[in-house]
Amino acid sequence: MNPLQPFYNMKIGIVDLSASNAEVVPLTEEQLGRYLGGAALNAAVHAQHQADSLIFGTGPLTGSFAPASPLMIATFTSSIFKRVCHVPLMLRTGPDMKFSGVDFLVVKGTAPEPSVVHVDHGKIRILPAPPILNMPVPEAIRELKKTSPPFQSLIITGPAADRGSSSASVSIGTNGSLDKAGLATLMAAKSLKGIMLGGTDGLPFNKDNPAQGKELEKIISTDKNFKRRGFYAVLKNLEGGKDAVKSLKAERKKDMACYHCPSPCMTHVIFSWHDPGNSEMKNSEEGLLLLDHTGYAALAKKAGKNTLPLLRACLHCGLDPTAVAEMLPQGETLPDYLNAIDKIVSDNATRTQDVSQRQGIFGGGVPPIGTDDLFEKRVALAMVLGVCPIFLLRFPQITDAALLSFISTREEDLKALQERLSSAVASL
Amino acid sequence: MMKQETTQKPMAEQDFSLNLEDLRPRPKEKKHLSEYFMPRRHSFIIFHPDRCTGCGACEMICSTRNVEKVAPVSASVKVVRDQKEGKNFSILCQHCRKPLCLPACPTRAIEKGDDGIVRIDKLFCTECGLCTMACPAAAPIKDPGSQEIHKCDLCEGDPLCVKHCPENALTFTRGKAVRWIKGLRWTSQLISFLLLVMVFVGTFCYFRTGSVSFACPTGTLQNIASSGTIVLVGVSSALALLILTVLAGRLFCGWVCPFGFVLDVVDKITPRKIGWPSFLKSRMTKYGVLAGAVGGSYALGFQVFCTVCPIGTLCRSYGVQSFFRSAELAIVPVLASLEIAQRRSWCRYFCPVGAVLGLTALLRMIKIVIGAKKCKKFSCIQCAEVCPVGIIDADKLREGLSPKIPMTECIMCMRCVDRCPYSAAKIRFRWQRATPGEGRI
Amino acid sequence: MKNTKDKIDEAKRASGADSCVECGRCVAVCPMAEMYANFSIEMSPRGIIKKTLMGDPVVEDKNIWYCTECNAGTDTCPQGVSCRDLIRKLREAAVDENLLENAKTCKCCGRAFVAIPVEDFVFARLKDEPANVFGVLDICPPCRREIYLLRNA
Repeated sequence: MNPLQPFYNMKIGIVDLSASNAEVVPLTEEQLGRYLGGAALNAAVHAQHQADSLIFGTGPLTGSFAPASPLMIATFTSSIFKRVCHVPLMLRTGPDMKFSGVDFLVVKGTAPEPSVVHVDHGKIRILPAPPILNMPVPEAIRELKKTSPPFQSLIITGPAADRGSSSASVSIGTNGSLDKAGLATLMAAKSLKGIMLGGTDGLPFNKDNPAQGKELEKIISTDKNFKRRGFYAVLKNLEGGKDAVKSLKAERKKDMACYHCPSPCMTHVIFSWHDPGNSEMKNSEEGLLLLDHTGYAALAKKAGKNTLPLLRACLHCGLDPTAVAEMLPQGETLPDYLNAIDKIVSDNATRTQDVSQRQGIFGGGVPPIGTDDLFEKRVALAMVLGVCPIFLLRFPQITDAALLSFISTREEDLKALQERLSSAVASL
Repeated sequence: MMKQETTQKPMAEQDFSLNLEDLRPRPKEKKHLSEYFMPRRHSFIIFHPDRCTGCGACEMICSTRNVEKVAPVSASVKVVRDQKEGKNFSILCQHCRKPLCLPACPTRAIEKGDDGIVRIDKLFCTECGLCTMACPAAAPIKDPGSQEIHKCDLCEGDPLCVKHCPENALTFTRGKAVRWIKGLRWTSQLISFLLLVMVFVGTFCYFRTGSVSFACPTGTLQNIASSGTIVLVGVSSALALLILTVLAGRLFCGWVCPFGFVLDVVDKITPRKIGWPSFLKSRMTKYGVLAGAVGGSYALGFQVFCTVCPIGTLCRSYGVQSFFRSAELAIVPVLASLEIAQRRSWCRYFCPVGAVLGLTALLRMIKIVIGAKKCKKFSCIQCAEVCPVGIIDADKLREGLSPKIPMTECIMCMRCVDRCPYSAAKIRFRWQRATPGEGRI
Repeated sequence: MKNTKDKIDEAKRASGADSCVECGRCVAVCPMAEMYANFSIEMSPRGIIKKTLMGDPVVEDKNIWYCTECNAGTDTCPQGVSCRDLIRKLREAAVDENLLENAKTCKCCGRAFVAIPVEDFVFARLKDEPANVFGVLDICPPCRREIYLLRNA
């Protein structure tokens, strides 16, 4: 028996937006056998379809008891990096995709009208989007919740993408994402407003996985990085991160975790600010979930104390903070910055970046922790298995063998899996 | 509802078929004798919202027990996340003392066991979801896939979610092992009863050896009113009790008062209460009694109330006394019989000694607070139940707000502090703002 | 948009109501007999299935609003008819038609979440409990959980 069987629904959903038709085809063992899953299989599926197709995929460990397994990988040809990119999407998207009954989702063609895709119980529906174009992300989500069938996770594009800006970024719920490669721009070009994941089913996985997960947790809990958790701890290690941490003081902080993560790297902050566009309003409290380390560092370099309000504006418009930081002028006041962001939203100039940027292949959002060589290896491993890349970068003592033992503990299986994994990692 | 409507029908139309009430009678609540001495310790899970990161490990592991696969929506616990405020909460069954789901179930599939665990009997459950409808926290969760109702049963005493939580945000506990305040209070009451009634006979009303003196403040007030002269020694000796009240509230009433001890003992013997007429339910009455006592003393020239004061008669009637002194003692059983109507009804409504101490307690330095964040609301409300003077607002607690406890009425017995399994009821200084459970988040 | 007739047809198909043999097992196990004093054949699953098959205007009927959407009838049916699915679909059609007088809408989110006769039953059962002072029955369970979160966390 294939040891990967309990880890997958063995289904690929294929959505043809131009024909507005969706079908579910079985995932063959042969495909799995060669690529194991995750980004490697994504790339293979992408090569089979047209160049403008968009693949959402999960790794074998996504949603399982392996620590920090929230990953969904979006594979597409980036207009910014001019190559095939793998963007990690976190929070609960990956598990919800698997629990919706589909492991991989292929989106091709262009919809005649703005539409949303709803996945649940292994069924895919293409629904016309309610009138939420050019609406700030939180309002759009509220509107979507009223009219659509229930969902657990949501990937949505903001008004920046609707207007064709190339600095747009998708948002997972209201929280933004690590997408810096133009996933939102591609989705907007396909007239795909969002993907809703129902997540109302489950997968068996292995019986002894919980104990294994607990053991791995025990191993890393002695590491010094385990205690240094939260957004700020990761931000500190980045280039210019120390200044970014210093210049920012939130009123209340709380560490938040993605799906089954024992050592979170996100922080929810509550800050009070004054909206210059609304003179009647007094200081209001606003909550933000910080998850994009590189974007935050870049923005903080430019804006200093105004970073949090600016980040809020970025998330509302569905903009990528890194791109915004590139375009913003240095050292101005908050109202000027907000006006500048309004301009960036409607500006549809194409933006390109150097391919040689080292995280380019992984969407540019993964914070560069560790040496270059190690970085590529670890992130590629994470992307294939569906484990959080930031988590694997922070804890180098978690080996690939330890992760593979979640799938099977039999020796011959492990050997085969190891080979497949190394070939899959090399194929990226 | 059923019963009412059937009884409204005339006899001829009544059907004599069996209904659920006859087929599955609810077990009668029985209290074992030992429970009066050792409280039964029901186990429960406490959730600490400030530690939770919202990773959902509890949902994952719980679902493996319910449906034998990882499916967070099929778990008996639900992690609710608030994106704006940055708060997470694991909603799980609190195993209420008086569960609301229990009467709402039309097939009577829900039962509360002797061990305090509320269980759904899968044999009788029709998955209608009315328990979810009745629960204020909507803790029974309907599986969107299989439509089954999943509810926490504490894994029969070994909860998986507690073991699997990486942040220790869920803890499993069985409540306090020893209620030491209870033992301390009963000892203090017993000792002070023995001392005041049997050893230092008559000392509560007035006691003086050398420069040390101690007097009942109400008696002193009447004394001043009747004689028209202020004796400095008397006033200063009355101050002793007043200072104690300023420092620690009406500690005298709950811990020392010999008549209070009698009332507490009578209360133990008569657990069923017949209720107090509502037109007499005014806590202001005791201030009226105080004013009457002082005024009467002024008019009649002797201490009116002291002759019938239950505390005083108890204190001065021990041993061989005159016939009059012994006859006075009759007031004690008469007033103690009020206990049948309501707990400590004398203290609540009439006692002028308590009235003076209550007025002094306006200057109190400490207070009792019940932190709404730590309190488990509708599921428990033990504090309101055990409060002998009934000053804890149960409706406020159910709504999830911190009730304000009037310290002029509180007799500082600290039963609430002792009872609360979640340590939400605490003694605080008057100027402390933060309630238990607030602050660090 | 589909019209109501199509929706009823779809409900019939989805629940398998066509194969009903009128054995009455669903009526025998139906908890509504215990719940309502005025339980009648019109209100029972069998009555509703019959009405649906006969093409009566079942969507406007008040009788579809008594069911608790429980699993008893569906479980016991020898023909595999899901009366729960049928009634659920019929109610959805009724809500789409804006026939909301028998559906309770949530105070917070505005969605119809329970039928009023069912709610009345729960209310009557909880009459002696003091908990209804704060009106939990006006709020749908997901909203209730969110309110509970904001109060407690």
